[in-house]
Amino acid sequence: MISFDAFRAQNGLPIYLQILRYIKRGIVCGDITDGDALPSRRMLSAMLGVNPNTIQKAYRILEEDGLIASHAGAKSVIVLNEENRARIRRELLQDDIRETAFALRGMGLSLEEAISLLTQCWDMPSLSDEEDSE
Amino acid sequence: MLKLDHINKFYGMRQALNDVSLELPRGEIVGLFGENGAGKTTLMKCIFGFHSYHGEITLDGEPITTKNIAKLSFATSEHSFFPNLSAATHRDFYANHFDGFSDKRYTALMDFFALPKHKPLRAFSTGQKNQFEVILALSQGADYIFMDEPFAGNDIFNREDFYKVLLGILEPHETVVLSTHLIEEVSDFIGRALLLRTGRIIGDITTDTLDGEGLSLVDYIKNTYSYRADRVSRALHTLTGEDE
Amino acid sequence: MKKTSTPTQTEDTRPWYAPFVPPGMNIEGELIFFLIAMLAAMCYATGFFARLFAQIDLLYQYSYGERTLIPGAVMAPFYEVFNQAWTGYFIVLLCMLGWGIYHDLYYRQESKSIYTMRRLPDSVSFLRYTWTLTLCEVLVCLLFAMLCLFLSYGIYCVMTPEGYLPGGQWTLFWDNLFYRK
Repeated sequence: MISFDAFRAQNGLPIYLQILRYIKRGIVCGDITDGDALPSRRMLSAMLGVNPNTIQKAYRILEEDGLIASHAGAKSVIVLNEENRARIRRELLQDDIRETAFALRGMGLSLEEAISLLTQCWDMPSLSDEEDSE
Repeated sequence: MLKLDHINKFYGMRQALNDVSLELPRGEIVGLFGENGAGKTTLMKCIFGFHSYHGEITLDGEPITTKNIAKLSFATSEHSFFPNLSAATHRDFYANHFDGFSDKRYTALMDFFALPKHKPLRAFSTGQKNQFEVILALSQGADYIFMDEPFAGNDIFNREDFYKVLLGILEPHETVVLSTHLIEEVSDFIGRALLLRTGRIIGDITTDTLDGEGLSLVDYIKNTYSYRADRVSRALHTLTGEDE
Repeated sequence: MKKTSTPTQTEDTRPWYAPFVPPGMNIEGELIFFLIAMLAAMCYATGFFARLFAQIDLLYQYSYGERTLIPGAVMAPFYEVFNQAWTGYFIVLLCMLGWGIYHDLYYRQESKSIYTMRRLPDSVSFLRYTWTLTLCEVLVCLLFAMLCLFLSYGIYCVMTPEGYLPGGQWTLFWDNLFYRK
């Protein structure tokens, strides 16, 4: 069953979106694969301390997106194939890049400057890794 | 459906509740917010008939009487248990008086919070007293569980445990109305927020709607109360005489 | 009281009188008070005897150490002789009603168990828990007061010398109970 142990609620984004993002990230990095079972709505609600209606909303959206299949009386199950896996990946990437692009534009960078900066930083380790090794 | 129709409550000249009208269906988790003296406790007490009031309060169309009052339960920070008696005796008392009492739920919650069964309630710590008070309210077999600041004195881990256990055991037909000051803490837990100020309902919104509008609960509440974020910095200017 | 699909019997045994007193209340103090108050009332009531013998004595005249009945004398009416014998019982009654009110206040001490009591689904329980003991005490007090009355009246009739007993004393007693005619 899919584990939500690593899930951390944050301020800013509605919690149902955070849950969706958690699942999408899990899919993209391979932790969540086709056929994995999701906890029941009630159990996830209790695990996260989140209102069941909110959980319901998240599950409903996943179902509409074709990412989960619900069967009466059984847990909902992830449905992954080439097509939707690629789509999720694209969506998540696009979300992340959009945030970054928005921030860079806000600092006054042009597209060329942004590309040059990206090329510079491409091979560098992440900031958190750097701090750890100091 | 629990329905409040134009409720007005006066203490002499002071108006504690001002034209409060409200519909509470089953199956909701409602947060009741408001400053001290806003009327949260008064509202709950009117529902139970502890206070007289003008207006009408009905449960499924009937006024609240001994016939249907078992469908409502109450946990309060003032504690409504008997300090001399043990938890086990309280269990027997509730089981005798309330047909819907759930021994299963009572036992499960007692075990989860590891509360002593045979010590007099008076000897419990404040946190334990709060926990027991809520356990009784949850085990009574009520459809509407009212909690008036039930966690005064419980540490944060305690409280978070409680929200989670609550979410795990609540049935779809049960409604919880929780009055609290801990807005941020309960913002994911509740499905609906009621805001009270000087006896009036000034806000009634579902978290679904808040999500749709991209508002956090805290922001909604601050906006509704016209909270001035610069209040502190402006006051400091006067208090310290510092020039900006 | 509802009975029970609830399986286990807890190990906290409740006293047999638990359904009739406020839950958890220690009634020892109240019972001791009641006992002492009743004894005091009974002692006070024995003042009747002193008054009775005094009044009987007034029917006699004394000469040379011998006493003879005064012809034509009339024994004092019963209500006068009985007088305030009931006062003690009356005070006990008021005290126990006061204790009854204390039962109600008990629910507001320390914690507000009044909120639980007022939510009980059957209308009788609250009255039963709060007032049964007081009711019993009041009844016992009234019972003793009546016994006291009957006994005193009987003794009055028996001890008054033959022929000196004024008639209609029983009715007269009740007529004069609340005010003197």
